[in-house]
Amino acid sequence: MEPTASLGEQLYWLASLFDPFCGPLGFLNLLPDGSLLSCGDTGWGDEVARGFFVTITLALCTLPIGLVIGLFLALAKQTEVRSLRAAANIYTTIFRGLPELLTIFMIYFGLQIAVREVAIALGFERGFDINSFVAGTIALSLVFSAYASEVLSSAFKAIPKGQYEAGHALGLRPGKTMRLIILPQLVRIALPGLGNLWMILIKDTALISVIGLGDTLRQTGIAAKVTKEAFFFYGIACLLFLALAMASSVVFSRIETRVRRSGVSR
Amino acid sequence: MSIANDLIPPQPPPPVTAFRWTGLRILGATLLGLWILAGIALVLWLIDAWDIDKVTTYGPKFLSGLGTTLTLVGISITLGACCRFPSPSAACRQTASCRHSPMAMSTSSAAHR
Repeated sequence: MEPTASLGEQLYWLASLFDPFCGPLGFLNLLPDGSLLSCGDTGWGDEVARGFFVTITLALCTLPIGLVIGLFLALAKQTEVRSLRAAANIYTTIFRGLPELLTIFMIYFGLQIAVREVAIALGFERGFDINSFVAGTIALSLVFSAYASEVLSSAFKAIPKGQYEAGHALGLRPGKTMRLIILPQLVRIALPGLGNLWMILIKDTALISVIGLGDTLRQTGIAAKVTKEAFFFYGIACLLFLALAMASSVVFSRIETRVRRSGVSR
Repeated sequence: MSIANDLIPPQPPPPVTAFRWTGLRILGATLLGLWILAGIALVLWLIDAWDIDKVTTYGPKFLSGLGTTLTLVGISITLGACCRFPSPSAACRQTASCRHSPMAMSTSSAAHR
């Protein structure tokens, strides 16, 4: 470990200790030297593993941002204020209507220009570059939040008005009613839809490889082109995405049983 | 027991509550204004960037691309519908354990997306 290493590199080094692919206890180390998937300079195992972690990190970074924006959009669609509803509906229409690929390009190239203009206007010498991870997170959050707002606002509609009135009758403030009464029921209703969206989000992360992020698809694609073993490496990518999907469906069914246990059947 | 002998006389409607700029209204107007500004900016930019050379060069390509998209969508919908319609009802008849109608299932899964 060099003393001059940046914080990001230190974190990366720390995380690589627990890398199940190529870490000290990684299973790819069991492969013989010189095989296609072995770690180090000879094989592509560590590159593919790094891409896999980029995919997971991207999806996990996008999820909370998208959920929060989606919740506020759903709340905006519930209000009596017509202009707020219209603004939220325009947002949903735009980001559900555009293809994800186009949104990614618009954010990556458009935001680059916008940031440069703002930076120059503020007196900096030159603009900042937005890296593809940040641009991908923003673009996927926009798409995810647009879809999540639809799921959440239909879940809001499924909660009877009497629940709000009960909170009011108990003397709870609107914020507290929302937190203690509405949101727990909302989670229960919206969870299957949100699980669907999470699966779609994982698949959409593969699109970020077009703006140069070294995710699973890009790393396996490079390996496929260099070694001319396209089917093998794209098959590995399929297995990795399937493993992610299976792991998340296990997690989601656990969360669902947990959430359902605390609910009263109506 | 009491009996009402006369109806309640007609009354004027309740007074209209005055329009007030609440926080939510200001937020909504601001956001909507931003969208409208963005739309106007986009149209102005398109007018500013109008170049007949580019239109004659790339316009037909755009149109043929749009045609490709529409053809793909059309073929997919047709083929998808052909593949989908007979199978669930057959499965229902065989197992007799079909709780949802196929239409209800498809709409609920569409609502989740």
